[in-house]
Amino acid sequence: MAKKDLFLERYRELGHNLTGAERTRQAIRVNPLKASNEELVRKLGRVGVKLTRVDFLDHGFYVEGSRFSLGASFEYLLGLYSLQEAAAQFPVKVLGPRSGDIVLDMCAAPGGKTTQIAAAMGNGGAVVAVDVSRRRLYALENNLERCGIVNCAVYCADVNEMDFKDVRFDRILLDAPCSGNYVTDRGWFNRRDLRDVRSNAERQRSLLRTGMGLLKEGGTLVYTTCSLEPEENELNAQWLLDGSDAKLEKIEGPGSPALTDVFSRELDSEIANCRRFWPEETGTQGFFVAKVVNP
Amino acid sequence: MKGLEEFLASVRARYSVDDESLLKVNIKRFVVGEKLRGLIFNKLNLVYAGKYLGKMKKKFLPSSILLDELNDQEVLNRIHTDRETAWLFVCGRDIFEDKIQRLEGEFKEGNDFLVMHEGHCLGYGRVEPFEGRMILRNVFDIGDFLRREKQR
Repeated sequence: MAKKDLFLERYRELGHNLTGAERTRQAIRVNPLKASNEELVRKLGRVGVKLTRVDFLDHGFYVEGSRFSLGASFEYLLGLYSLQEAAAQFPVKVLGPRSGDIVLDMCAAPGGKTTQIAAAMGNGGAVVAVDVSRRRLYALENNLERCGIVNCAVYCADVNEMDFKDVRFDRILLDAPCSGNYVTDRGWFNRRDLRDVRSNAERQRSLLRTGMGLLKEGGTLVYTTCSLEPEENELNAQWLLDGSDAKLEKIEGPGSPALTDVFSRELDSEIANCRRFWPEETGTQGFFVAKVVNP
Repeated sequence: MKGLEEFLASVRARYSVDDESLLKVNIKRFVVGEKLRGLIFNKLNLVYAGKYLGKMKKKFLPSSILLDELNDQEVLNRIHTDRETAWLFVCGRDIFEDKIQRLEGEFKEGNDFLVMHEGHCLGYGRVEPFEGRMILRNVFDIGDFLRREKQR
């Protein structure tokens, strides 16, 4: 069976008839540190860019049409907005960082969600951003400067190996390295197989273990991937429940409850508190979001 | 911090950094507040922290964050431009004196000026002679964010 058919068959088994040709719309996120939604809509409107609000986000807009690249406008270079797919903006909303928090972004580069966290905190509190790739961290540094972020410390390190002394975090974002999905990556089916999925799932569990160890009592960790594969999502959430006292808090919003029946394996009903974005339902890329609370 | 002071004087700006808050990461200079200072676990892996002031090379090169902050000051060398000139500046071009819409400060050789468009700072330049007249030579502009990405 061709790899594309194999994956589509798996999605069918999970109850979703995907074609493999679903695409997402271009979206941007307004940087509230530098502009209001209204101000940016007006400024971009003057140069012929029409924006429509993403209904489940506070600062997210779909781009309905632009004659130029939105990654090279005055407004972009001034940090008034960032390019960020709509579903990718949801995990930080779920994390709900507040000014005064100490937040860890575990796999931070290239920094779309780091800047979103810092902006949501109004540049207050502190964000520790870690990534193992120096090359990708250059992009993160660029984004921090462009967006006017002043509350972040950035480390180039394997977060599993890093010594955080005795610091524990109020909130942690684990936007885990994952297999990705075909919606934003046209060559995805040719490059991916189930071995990648299993190996990513293993790495994700080790990151989850590290994250839980760094979370304060009563703290919140948001685990998210842009993978559609249950091994990287629901099965990892189940692994966490099986091996710890962690609780999964219910996430309200777009998409559907996560799966509790995966390839004939019945999972804990609490898994349904997590959220899944299926491309044919939400018009976005695939996404999985779990809100884990350390009791 | 000597290089920073020289730059500030060249644009008639004021800004003070106390030694305790100043952090050096290779050639980059940052201001780090108290809360973030407690999260500097080691300097070996640290690549960025707090408010990025700029880079210390032969001269101090201010960041866009610092330029933005200076822009709040009343007394400052600034030039204001129209959209077309502003865009050319962001593409790395210099600015001829006749393209300046409004000037704050004395446009004479050696002086530095922040380049403004609609209240936003796009970078800065230095006044230099060019073919018998004065131009603002582009030193830094925000188009650098794109150029840096392409270089990687």
